[in-house]
Amino acid sequence: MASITIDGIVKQFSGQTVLQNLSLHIPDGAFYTLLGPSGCGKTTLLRCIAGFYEPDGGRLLFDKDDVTRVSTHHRDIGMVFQDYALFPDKTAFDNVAYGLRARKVAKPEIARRVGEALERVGLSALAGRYPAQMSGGQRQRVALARALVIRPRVLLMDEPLSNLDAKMRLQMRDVILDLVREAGITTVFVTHDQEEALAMSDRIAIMDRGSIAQLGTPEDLYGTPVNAYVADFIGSANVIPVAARIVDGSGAAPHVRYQLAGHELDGVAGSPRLDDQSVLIARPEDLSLMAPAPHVPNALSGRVLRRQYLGFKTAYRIQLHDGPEIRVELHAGNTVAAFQPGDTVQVLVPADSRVVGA
Amino acid sequence: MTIKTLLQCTLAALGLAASLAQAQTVVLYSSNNTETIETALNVVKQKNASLNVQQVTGGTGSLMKRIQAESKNPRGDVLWSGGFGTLGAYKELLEPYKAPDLAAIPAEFRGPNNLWVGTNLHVMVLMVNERQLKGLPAPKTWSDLMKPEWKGKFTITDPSKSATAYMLVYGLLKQFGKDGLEKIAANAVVTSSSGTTYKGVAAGEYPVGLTIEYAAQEYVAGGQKEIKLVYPAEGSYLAPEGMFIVKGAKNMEAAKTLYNGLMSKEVQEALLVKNFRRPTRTDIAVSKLTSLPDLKAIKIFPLDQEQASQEYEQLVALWNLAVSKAR
Amino acid sequence: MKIHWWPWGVLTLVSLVLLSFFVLYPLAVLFGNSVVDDGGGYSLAAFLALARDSEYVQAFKNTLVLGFSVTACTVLVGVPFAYMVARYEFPLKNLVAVLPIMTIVIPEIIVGQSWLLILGNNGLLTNFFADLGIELPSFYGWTGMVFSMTLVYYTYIYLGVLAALRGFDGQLEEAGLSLGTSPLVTKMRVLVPVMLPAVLVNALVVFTLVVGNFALSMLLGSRVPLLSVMTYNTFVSEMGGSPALQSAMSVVSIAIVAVVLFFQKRVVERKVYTMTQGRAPAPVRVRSAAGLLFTLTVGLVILASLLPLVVVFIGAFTETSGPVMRWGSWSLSSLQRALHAAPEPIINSLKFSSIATLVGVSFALLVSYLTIKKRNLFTQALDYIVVLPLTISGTVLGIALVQTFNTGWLVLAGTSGIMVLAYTVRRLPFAVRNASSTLFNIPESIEEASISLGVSPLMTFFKVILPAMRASLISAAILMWVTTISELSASVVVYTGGLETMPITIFRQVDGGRLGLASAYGAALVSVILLPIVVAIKVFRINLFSSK
Repeated sequence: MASITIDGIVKQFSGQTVLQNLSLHIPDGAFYTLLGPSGCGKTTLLRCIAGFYEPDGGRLLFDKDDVTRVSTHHRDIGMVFQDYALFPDKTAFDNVAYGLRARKVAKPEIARRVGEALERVGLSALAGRYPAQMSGGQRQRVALARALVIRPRVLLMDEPLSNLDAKMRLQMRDVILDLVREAGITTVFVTHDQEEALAMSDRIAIMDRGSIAQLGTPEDLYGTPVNAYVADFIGSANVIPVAARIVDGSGAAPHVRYQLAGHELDGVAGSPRLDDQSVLIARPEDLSLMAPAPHVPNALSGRVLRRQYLGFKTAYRIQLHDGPEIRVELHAGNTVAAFQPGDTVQVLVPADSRVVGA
Repeated sequence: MTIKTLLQCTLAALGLAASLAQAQTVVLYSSNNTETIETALNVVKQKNASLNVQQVTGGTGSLMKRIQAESKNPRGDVLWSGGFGTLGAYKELLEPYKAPDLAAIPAEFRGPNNLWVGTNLHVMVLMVNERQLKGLPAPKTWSDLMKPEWKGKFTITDPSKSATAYMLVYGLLKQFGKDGLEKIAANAVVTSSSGTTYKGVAAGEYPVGLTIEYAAQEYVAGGQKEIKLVYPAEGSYLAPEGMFIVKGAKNMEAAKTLYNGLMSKEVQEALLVKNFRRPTRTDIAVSKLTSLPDLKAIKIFPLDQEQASQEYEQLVALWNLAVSKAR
Repeated sequence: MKIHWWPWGVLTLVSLVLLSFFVLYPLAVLFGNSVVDDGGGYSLAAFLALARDSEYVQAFKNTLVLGFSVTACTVLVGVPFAYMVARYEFPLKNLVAVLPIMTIVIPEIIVGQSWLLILGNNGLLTNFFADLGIELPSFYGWTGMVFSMTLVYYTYIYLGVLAALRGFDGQLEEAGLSLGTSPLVTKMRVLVPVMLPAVLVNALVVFTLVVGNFALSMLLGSRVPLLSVMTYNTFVSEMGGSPALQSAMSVVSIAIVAVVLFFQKRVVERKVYTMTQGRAPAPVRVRSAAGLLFTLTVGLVILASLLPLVVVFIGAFTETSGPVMRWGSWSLSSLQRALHAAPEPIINSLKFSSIATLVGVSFALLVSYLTIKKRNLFTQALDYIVVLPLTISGTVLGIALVQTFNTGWLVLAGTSGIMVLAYTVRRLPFAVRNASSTLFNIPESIEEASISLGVSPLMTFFKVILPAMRASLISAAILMWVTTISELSASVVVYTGGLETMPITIFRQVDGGRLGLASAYGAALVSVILLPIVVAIKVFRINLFSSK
């Protein structure tokens, strides 16, 4: 078990800089997720940690060991791949035993550890089966067992659940978390699925074009995104350009006043400096609707464009008068009467809505 | 393993070793076909059971070149057989040897200084496929073929590609001069191997082929009724073939044994009866053993073998000229 | 893109050097010899001599005519046949699965010889009809060549068109029908234009094969001048002399193929359409009378393809008298001669092919791994050089090898070395293709998984890649074995006395009129080819013909 220190890593491919001076410290035993859309560099970073790519600049350390130039097979890592990468000509048992055999572990010990590992993932009965005879979920579990049985310093997972169907994906989340927690192993998990990231991680690093946009706990990222990119990636949000000014810069939540749809509203600053090119981040579920009424603070009037009933919530698209479209979601428990397309409503924007720099 | 079995095995091994120790290996380079070699060697082995003959087959030309390439370290021991002209061109590669049985072979078929001896005599004949004549009269002479109606109707082998064909063309030149040769060249279909020449006639592609006696006879004896052998009235040409011991042969004693065997009466008789190879030996009655006539019954147009080999380049050039004129 | 020198960089370099030396260098020597005159200076005299030689010009024309005729015939046979198999269901249709196997298993020389045994002079059928008073036309010449070459090469067209038909989205035709054209017109306007490139590509392959064909041309060509035959004969007669003419002829042959390939790359392949998706229409069951017709046609084609196998065994057991086959009388003497009295060709064949197979498969494995998994400029070059021999006829390759390795510092002529070399260089591309297609389907993540588990890249190759390729390696080995042991046109040029292989001996025996003995060696050859295939299919359960 080791901590991972990524120190100013730079990686270029054919003149394009894919990782820009990236630094990140992953404590021993933590579960960190690299999250982002395709092309953001998360897989590249993971492969640099694994050693498949050699960085063009910067250092990589496992605990205090500088492994920047160490070959992959000497780094003592465990890796789980998106397509499972099980050896097709070997049984589940032999797949899992592979790393142990390479480390010249004694035969009886191999038998014991492999047996344990397969038991841990619930596949003892399939020890003699070949990959072709297994389902996707079973294969992924064998891949997991194979990576963990060698007790590596770090565990790297490259979108391991992407090829599974929805139900299996949920099951496997639990399997992975249980195993990883039990082993106490430092894990770096790559995914583009934000729900997965939120559910599993100690911390999430959201990546944008080769840099880390924000590093934080799931609550941090969801509740206080530092910019529009993060806000829109985690959950969904209305991202609306506004002109804003900080009224009271003191304290943890600086008071902000901003212009929207002809009104001036109160909000909270999420960035140190704000100006005419700021951005309001309002999550649809934080907004509420009411019938038109006078003198309601932080309210904007608009017309309902569309209503979608989704069972546990109802989603509305509202056209603000003198403003842009805005999305609002009301949960089933909300006792407000259902509005219909064409109705005039008032949209209530909470006073602690965050305004950030663009 | 019991003592008894052990003893038996040991004895057998010793016996094998003993016989191997006695076995004499000799390497034979031969341009003859498998059956002919088999016939000869079967008889040779009857008299010399311990002789172990390793064969290397190929065309005479390529075998001679091989012997030349190996001259510093000869791997072959005996060559059987090649046309006299060819042998004459490589005199420095030949080991002189006077076989005990030499008297049976007429002097004209022996090599100079005992460098080689002629074992077999090829007679150049007309091979006729009667089914393919289609109205043409069966030819009786070489001159018949010079007539215009024979254009494109008979095959002849390129003299630069075959020793026997060379003697044929040389003979035609000597007998009929440049004009006669040109007339033949004008009418002939020239092939690049002796095989093609006689197979073409047997296959029914051509009514006539100018080829070797034994080749035609094989089809006759094989039962192809439409094939006939004609000895031209003007005279056939002889192409003797000889064998020699390679100079510096590693297995000299075995080579001599093989040499003596190949020219022996028993072997030559077998070759005559089975493969229709006319022997040079005078003590074999050809007409009694086969349907072929005795040598003295055939009209032969005499040729000087030595001179023939000396005039090689002129003849080939003349022939090529004649052929290109005809095109 | 970083080039890691160890171990793959070094291996790439070594492979490049080896291949350049054994493939590029001989070709360079050949080209060089074609433009050098007696004095040693540059001159085009050899080419001019060829242009002025009327027989050569005739041979050139004949070869092109032969190429076109055979190609046309193979298309006429192959396309309808493929259409029948792809679109219809009829009794005994499963037998067609045996066809691809046949083309590999039966060497060309056996095909030629067998048809001679049936339709040549003295042939079984010829004699039969002669006894009835009917004289069959001579099998030699154009008739025999076009007939036997069509039988040998039609499978290229058949397999190519079959694959294209199977990949053709049936919905395209349905769309055409829904737009108002009748079924026949729909086929003409929708199916044919898409099929055409597939047909053309394979037709061009057949054309180049006919131009470079040796065995059938020599055996059956008779008095028809042909380029491959003339080149070979020139080589034989120039032995020991100036190789200018044979080199010039070889260069011309290479040029013809190059032109054809260029045409294929530029014009035809541009028009190859890939189906994005879609299934071919299911085969339609054919009613009784029509079904019978289909079965008969298929049966006839298969029979004609299989006949040489049967005939060669019959010939081996038939009594002979010199060059005459005594049909109906049986004897073991031919077999006895081949197996006991003169088994050297069989031993030689086994020896050379084993070594060539071993060397070839190992090298093919290395080369395909480098080109597929370690792509860079150098491995791309490797890929091109390996495939080069496919474009050269065996005769030309043999001539190039003899000219290069007859003298100089590395003399291989006269040794087993040159035979093994000829085999390996000529057949390596097949093994490489075979291995490559498998490697293509092995994802990179498997190697990375192994490396991540602590196994070095080199050991990963042996522990993960090799086992995963087991089936492919076996089929590549069998392919190598079968194609080298039946190789003729290159080995007949490079061999010297004592190095005869079975195909060479068969060739010489047929040339000498000994069809019985030729059949005996032929039976041995076919047996030695069939055995590993049967073992592979039955014992190892390998599907050998998924990719050819």
